[in-house]
Amino acid sequence: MMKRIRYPLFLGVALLVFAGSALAAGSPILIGTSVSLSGNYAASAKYGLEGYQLFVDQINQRGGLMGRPVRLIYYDDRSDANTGVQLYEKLITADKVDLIVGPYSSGVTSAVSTVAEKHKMTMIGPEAADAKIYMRGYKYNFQGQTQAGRYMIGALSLAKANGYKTMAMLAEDTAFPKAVSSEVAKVAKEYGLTIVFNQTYPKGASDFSALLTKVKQLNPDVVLANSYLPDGQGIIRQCREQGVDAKLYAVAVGAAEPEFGNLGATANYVFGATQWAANMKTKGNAAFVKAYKEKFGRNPDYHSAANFASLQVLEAAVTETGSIDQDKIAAAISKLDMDTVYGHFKVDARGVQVGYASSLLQWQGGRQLVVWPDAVREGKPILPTPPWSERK
Amino acid sequence: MDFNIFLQLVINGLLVGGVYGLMSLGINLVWGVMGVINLAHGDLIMAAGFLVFSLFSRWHMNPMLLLPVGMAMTFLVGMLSQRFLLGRLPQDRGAIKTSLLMTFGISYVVINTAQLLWGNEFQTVTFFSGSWSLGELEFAKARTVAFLAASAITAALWLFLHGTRYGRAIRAVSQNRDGAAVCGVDQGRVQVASFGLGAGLAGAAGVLLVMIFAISPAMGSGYTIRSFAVTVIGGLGSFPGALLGAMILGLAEVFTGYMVSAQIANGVAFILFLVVLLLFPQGLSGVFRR
Repeated sequence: MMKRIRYPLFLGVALLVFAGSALAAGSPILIGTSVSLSGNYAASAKYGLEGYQLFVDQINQRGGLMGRPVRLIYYDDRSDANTGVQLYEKLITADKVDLIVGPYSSGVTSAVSTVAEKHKMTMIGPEAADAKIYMRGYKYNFQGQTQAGRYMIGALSLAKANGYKTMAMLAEDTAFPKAVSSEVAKVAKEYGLTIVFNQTYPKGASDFSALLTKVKQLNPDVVLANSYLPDGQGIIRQCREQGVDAKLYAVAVGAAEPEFGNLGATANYVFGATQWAANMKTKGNAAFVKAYKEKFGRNPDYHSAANFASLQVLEAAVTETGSIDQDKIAAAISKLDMDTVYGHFKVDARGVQVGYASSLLQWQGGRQLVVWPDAVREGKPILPTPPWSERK
Repeated sequence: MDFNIFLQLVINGLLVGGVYGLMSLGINLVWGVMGVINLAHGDLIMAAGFLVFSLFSRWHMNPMLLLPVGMAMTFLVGMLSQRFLLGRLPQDRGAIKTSLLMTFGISYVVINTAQLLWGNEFQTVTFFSGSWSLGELEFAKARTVAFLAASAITAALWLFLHGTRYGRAIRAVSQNRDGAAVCGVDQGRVQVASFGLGAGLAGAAGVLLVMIFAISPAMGSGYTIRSFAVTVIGGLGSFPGALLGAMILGLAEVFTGYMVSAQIANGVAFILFLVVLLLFPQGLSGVFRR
């Protein structure tokens, strides 16, 4: 009985390896990761996974990594940090992957960074914006995403330019959204803003009406939702239902996803932080966008580009050292200074990302347009947001 | 607290409470008639929500017109589950445990089918956006429509259970199984109908819920727990008790969210659950019966 089961399994694995080695020869280099295929972060994480997949395809077509084919092994972490920890343990100890790359979200990355560190495996976290993860004296972890503190700079700049004075902030109570809130709180004064409301809600919450009733009483000029997709959608929609009339709404992650447009006309005027845009003149960006559309039949978002770029960085480090020795790779990454599709990659001595910058998009007439900074903008920001009563 | 704010919170709480009430009716009915706790209840809520989402995103029709479609689908799933799965379990002393395991299994099948059909992401139907204003009070359109529909369905169910022969048969079985059998009530058929009806009510709740909140396939168990909490707070098997429990839960969540924090509001269902179990083990309806 056992034989019967094992045989096709072996055959399946052999086929997979064979398919991967069509162009590159030798035993494959395994890259392991966990992906939030289900749960709160699924929408964003799917884009990230596609970024990884596209890169692996392309590197195999180019002849692989150090002449060996590359294979991506991934499991669903269900947007859950504990599951992520188990999966990275499994990837490193059972699957014996050669290299690892980070999962989605600061929360999951923060948890699995300890696993990477324990096993002395170098890990770039392409979706970990919370810089605190990299301030713990770790040697093998590097930030592959723009620092959380930079996400809302665009929105704050626009608020300042328009003379807005008061601001309310809502944030999911996990690593990244809380990091954005605390970073914004530190600099709000410089932008002439007073924070009148700053509260968190649990992951998975869908009813924000009680919080928004409070926000409505305070009548702030600016509402920041430091949120992912489902919660970001919920907050903006319920702002409308509860009659919260701010002049500027900005969402940290959710509004950058095309799915945010499911809100219909309610999505219009909402700003979203994005760390990358398809029209940016970063190195190889146009070719990346084109290949991505061909492979997946949809436009990449910034997560796709960040994950793709992290593998570009990893490739550069491995190629430079000519080995998969984790210490050498870590040393190489810490010294790297390179242009990726996502922008300029550079980390400081702690592993905190100092190269990548943030920009801002706005939903206008059912489309996302980059409106800040001026160097990359596709359209002008429209402010103030008209009151809900005057909108369709 | 400003009186207007107080009223607004009461409105928000009652509107959500109405949907919680509908969510819990199905689980309550199935428990009352069959002594089965349907662990797939929340997943059926989710599945009906997704069905309506996919029909809506294709045709952009009023989701209220799709309410019967969502109900019919879960009704059918419920009937078939009872007829071919639950109904075949041995009715011995271990019946509660085996039926619990069976509904647990059905729950997994529903979740994974939904994931295959509709993917893993959060989806919502944005048909009724904004709110109706009455002075300074806001009645969120989606929630108001859902509340009214939930009330209508609840009333219709009450009429069905009290005014029709079939409804009376269901109630007879729930009150005294052997007595009903002696009077010639076909228990097998009543159970198939009850489970179908319970699932159909879950479907109705799902259709209304997806108009208000974003849902994902993995969320069903959360709804099962919430429905169960409402049922326990109100008293298992009690119809008015469950509605009372739902309103109390809706109000408690909204007021805690406003006055304390969203984190505590998220756990209010469980706090109420424990308090009621400790103080009134029969549920709130048990208090009035005494």
